[in-house]
Amino acid sequence: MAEDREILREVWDGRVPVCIQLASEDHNTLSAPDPYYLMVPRLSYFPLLMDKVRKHFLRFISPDLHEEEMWLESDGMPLKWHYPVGVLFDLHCGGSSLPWALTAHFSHFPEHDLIRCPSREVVESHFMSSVKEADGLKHRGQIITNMQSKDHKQLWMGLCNDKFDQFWAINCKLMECLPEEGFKFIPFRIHFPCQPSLQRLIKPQTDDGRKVTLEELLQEFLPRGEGDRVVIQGIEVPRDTPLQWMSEHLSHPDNFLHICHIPTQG
Amino acid sequence: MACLTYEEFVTGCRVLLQVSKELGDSWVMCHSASDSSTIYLSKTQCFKADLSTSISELTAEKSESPDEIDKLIEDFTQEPEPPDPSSVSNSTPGYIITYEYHIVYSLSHSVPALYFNAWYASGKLLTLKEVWERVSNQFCEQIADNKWNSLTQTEHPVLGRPFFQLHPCRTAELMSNVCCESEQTPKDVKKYLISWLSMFGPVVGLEVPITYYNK
Repeated sequence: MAEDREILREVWDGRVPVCIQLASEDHNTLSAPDPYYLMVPRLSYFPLLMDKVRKHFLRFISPDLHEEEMWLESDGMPLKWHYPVGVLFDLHCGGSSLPWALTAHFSHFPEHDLIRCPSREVVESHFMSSVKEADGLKHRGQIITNMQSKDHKQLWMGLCNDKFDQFWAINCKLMECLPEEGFKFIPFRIHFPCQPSLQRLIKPQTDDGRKVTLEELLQEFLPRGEGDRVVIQGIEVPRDTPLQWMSEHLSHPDNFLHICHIPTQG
Repeated sequence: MACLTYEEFVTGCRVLLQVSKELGDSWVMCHSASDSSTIYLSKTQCFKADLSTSISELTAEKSESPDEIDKLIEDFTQEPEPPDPSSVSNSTPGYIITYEYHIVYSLSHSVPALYFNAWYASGKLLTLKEVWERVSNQFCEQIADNKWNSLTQTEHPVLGRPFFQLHPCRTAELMSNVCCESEQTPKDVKKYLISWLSMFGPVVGLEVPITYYNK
């Protein structure tokens, strides 16, 4: 684990370039606002990063929209803020044209598609819930339950403040296991551009002690066409990589492996 | 810790469905659009709420058949007359609120989880705050104490869109106090599901009649 630590750092430091413009139906000034350019961390969540963007656009929208929740859209698709930034990028943009062009809206919140996010507490609650789920799969929840709430807080603050050491001081406990056994189940989700995400159970080892690979996971749970892209943390991981290693090194801070399946165009 | 495998959950749902039919209740089984082996149970219930009264006076009109639900909606969804300053109205208009409950399997916690959505007659979803306010007084303390960990809006694991959820992370612990079978006896999945539903359902307005236990 120690020799692969630089991979953890690389994953932590991943950034994507975005360009956010204000929805034309929401701006009510003669001159259009400048778009807002920024680099966003792959591992973070949009609501944690949008304070300055919101302030930038506030003067260009009508006062009755000032209290409204800002939501983002990519090429007509409302962005699910509760997915990590990197997952949304890999699903919707994939680097085909950079920076990733997003539109900020202040009206017509799509409440049937998007969870409401009125405060950072909502993001924290969602994040901690995912961490608990992941530990439920890896360790029957034993490790997260036995942690003190100050440790939970440290995980969250480490993520919010981009503090790798602070985060991993606690997260390494969630990555513990007996080397010969691995986790009970691997926490993963498969995401698609236009259908609900998929979550299933898979063990990191077969009964005879052989390590299960990404290829086997994909074969078991996905009907795949030729040339479909499978992207994790922005890279097409070699399909013979063991799931246990991937879970320890390529998971997001919520301790899930987020796998993006992008079918090739017909 | 009392958990269920997915197979046990499916068996329990089938039994619950059977009991529901016998009692004239309205649970139905639904399948994932992309994978027919993934199932969940669904039930819709309408509540008549007078907006000017407090939570404790909320009354539930339980509908037993789809026709009755339609009539109820018809009766109450007519828009109130625009206020006429020359007339005196005796009562504030009643509003209908529809709750749709789903019993879904939580893969991460190996237990059932209760999801639901609630909306006004206009189709507008209730906010999380409005949903919290409707939690009956006897449960308010538990929810308020641990607000962000008990009842939140989240993504439905099968449908992939926003639903409210009662967090399942403590379900196994709570259920182990109720179901104390030894490892040897086969699990009574019907008893498990009905006990579970009786614990969690009432928090969000879903009552489980005592007749469920007798079947």
